[in-house]
Amino acid sequence: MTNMSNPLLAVRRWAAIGAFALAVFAMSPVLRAADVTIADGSIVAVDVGNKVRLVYAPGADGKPAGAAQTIEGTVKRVLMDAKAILVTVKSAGREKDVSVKWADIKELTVAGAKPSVGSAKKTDSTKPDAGKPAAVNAGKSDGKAAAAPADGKKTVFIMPWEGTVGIGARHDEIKRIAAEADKLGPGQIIVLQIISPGGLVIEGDKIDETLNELKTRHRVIAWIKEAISAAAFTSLHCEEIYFMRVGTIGAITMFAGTESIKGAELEAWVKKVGDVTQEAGRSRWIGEAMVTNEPLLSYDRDDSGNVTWYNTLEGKHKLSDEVQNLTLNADTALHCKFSDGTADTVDELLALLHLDKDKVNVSDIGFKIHETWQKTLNDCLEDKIRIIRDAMNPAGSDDVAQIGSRIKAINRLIEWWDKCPPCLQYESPPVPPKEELEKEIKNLRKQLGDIQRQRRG
Amino acid sequence: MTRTSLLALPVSLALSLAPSDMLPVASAQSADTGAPLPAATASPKVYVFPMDGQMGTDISEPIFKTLIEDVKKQKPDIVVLRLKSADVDRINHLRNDNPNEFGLVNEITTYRDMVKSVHDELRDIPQVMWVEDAVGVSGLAALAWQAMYMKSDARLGGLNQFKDMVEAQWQDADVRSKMVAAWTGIMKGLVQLGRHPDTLADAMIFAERTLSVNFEGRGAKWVGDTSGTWVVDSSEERAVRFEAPVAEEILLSDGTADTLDDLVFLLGYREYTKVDTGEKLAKQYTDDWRKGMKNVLEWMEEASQTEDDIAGLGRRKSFYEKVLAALKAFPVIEKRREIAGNGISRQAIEGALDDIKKDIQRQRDAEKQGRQGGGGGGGGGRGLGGGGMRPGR
Repeated sequence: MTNMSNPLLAVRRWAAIGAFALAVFAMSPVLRAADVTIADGSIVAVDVGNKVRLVYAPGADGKPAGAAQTIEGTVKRVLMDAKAILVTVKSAGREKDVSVKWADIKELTVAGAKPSVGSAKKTDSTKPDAGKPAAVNAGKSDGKAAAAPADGKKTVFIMPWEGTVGIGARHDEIKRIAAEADKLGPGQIIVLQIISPGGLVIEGDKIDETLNELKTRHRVIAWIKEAISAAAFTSLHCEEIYFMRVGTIGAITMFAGTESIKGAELEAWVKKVGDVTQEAGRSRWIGEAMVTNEPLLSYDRDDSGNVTWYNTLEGKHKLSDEVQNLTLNADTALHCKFSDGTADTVDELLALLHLDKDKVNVSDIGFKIHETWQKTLNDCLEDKIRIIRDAMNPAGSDDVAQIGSRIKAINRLIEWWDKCPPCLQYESPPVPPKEELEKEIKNLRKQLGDIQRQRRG
Repeated sequence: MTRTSLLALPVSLALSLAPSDMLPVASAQSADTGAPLPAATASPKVYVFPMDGQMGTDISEPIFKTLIEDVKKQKPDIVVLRLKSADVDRINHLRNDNPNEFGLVNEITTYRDMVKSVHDELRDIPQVMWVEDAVGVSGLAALAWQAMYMKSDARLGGLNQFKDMVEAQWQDADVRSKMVAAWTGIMKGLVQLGRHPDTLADAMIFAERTLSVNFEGRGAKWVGDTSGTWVVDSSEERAVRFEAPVAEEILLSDGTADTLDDLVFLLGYREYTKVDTGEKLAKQYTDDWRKGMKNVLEWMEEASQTEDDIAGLGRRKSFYEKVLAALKAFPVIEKRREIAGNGISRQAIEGALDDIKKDIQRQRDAEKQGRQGGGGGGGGGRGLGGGGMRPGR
């Protein structure tokens, strides 16, 4: 067996970002409003994350109704196709997900919101702006505005998000795909196909901000092949998570050098990951168990599929003890309802999303954005090595020629600084900052001038 | 392509020949590929997809791509993935295991992608794993298929030192756990492809995990301790290892087959046509890259004997160019311990060549100017690592 310390699996924490875990994040609420039609025909606008009080009677939908029950909790999912609502209820320190059909609901009160009663339809932010003309320009990413589809169909944007977080997988590409989706109006579907062993903490900060903002306009889905560390943190932002059968998520321990963060910094990071997990409608204990060894995690699943989480090992299904860091694979994630399904192909995913291929447009812009950035990165990596060689052992047989070669090489590095900064900043071998390179060129030009003057003189 | 008839079955199997309605139930339902075994043909085309040798080199991405394309071209009815890749010999006391031939564990994401590509790209063709021998990381690959058969003397064993080796590199408890969790999460992905539970994967990956099984109807339920009806692995010092008879009895394997004839019979067919183009392609690939590696080591040795004058640099350049061509043709060469351990890589050779070219030019310029020696540079690096990144003056 060879070296197992694959650097790509490391979350690298840079000195300049030591304050990351202590930063206060302005979290936008997760918004995906849905109109829930309850038993009496009233419509109540519900968002994931809303605190609700709910009176329901199982069997009210035409069957003999059972005794009315009242629960209070947080909306975890609004299942539009199943016409049900999933509410996380806390009781005696435990969390339990309760699934209730809309038709069984007698009363539904959302904390801090007025229920909209009657059949008047409220604005649904998930629907695209059908007023815009022209057809979707799904195949082109030329910077020109892609007009909204005339057919009113939603568009599914699938984008592989691949490589080290902050280098191959960045918030910049998420912003780019968001811009494409924005051209079609709100309510588009963005699928991030996560293939990443983790990466830079500083990027996590930007991703957090980008995704929280993006989720207010579009439906954002994580489709996981490999979501380790910072990539897991990214995925946890998504309310909907699907796995590939080989998929895995977890191991969000933050460390610098060979040491994990400790004390207040660790506490803040555990809280942050827990908050992100909870905001997306999952038990915060899942995210916390991915950060550090101590948190325990287990769950029970009843015959109806309702899952109860424990931050102890009292549940039947034990996921993380005091010496384990949590990663989840496809089957377990599905069983505990962490994931919404398992799909290996786009067609399978669309089926799980209940999206009829004839009723949505599937854009390939995300693939093009991904390919473009990956190519830039690979070209830079290859070229950088050659350039550094040229700078360190410049061609030429005399000082003038060698200095000239060195200037040329450094100029090429400066060009790459503009085109592909993360490759120069984070990928080995390190390259000095652009400003230092520019100073070096000035020095070399001065040397060149001195030599030429000496030769003339 | 050879045509094989089961009429030549050995007596023991011939005795079990029965009318077609009595043939063994095709247990390879291939739920993993979604493709059922062909019912319309009595004599299917069976493609042997060899996975022979070292994981990471002989069994690697380039040959998988070639074989997948070949399968698409040959259009077989069934693909049989024949796996023979064991890190350790059967006779411990000989101590003849060659670490250079151990499966490369750190290529696990590549194995995941290779195996997934077979599942995805050949999803319309039923796939059956046939284990001749699999000990080490190859054991995880064996479990990536739901329909699995073994040779009667086959072993199916896990990784013994994986966790120790990861943990040895990280002192911090949280970081150690993180690394172990990340790696095992990816490893378990392979096992999930075969619809096997994490409990089984854990026993394959972690030496300290034990394993037993309970039987429920015609199915087996794995238990991650020794409380099950059948204790498979009570050792806390080595990963689980299945011998073929046990694997069959506890329903891990779907049956035991010593030959392809036996295997196809167990799948429910009396006759079949074997497609052996995959075996030929894989053998050629293995022969070629191994020859390439041998050449690389010889050329590097010869390069190290060259002088630093223009003639010597020219010869060295010629050797390095051949090395570079071999490394480009067979990138797996770089993964070998004897190559990586000597600092031989495409990048290093390219650097050394660049330096040599500059040195030659400098010496030529110096000769023209009647001076001795060049103006600097790295000297081309007779060993490698010398000239590659050495700064000039």
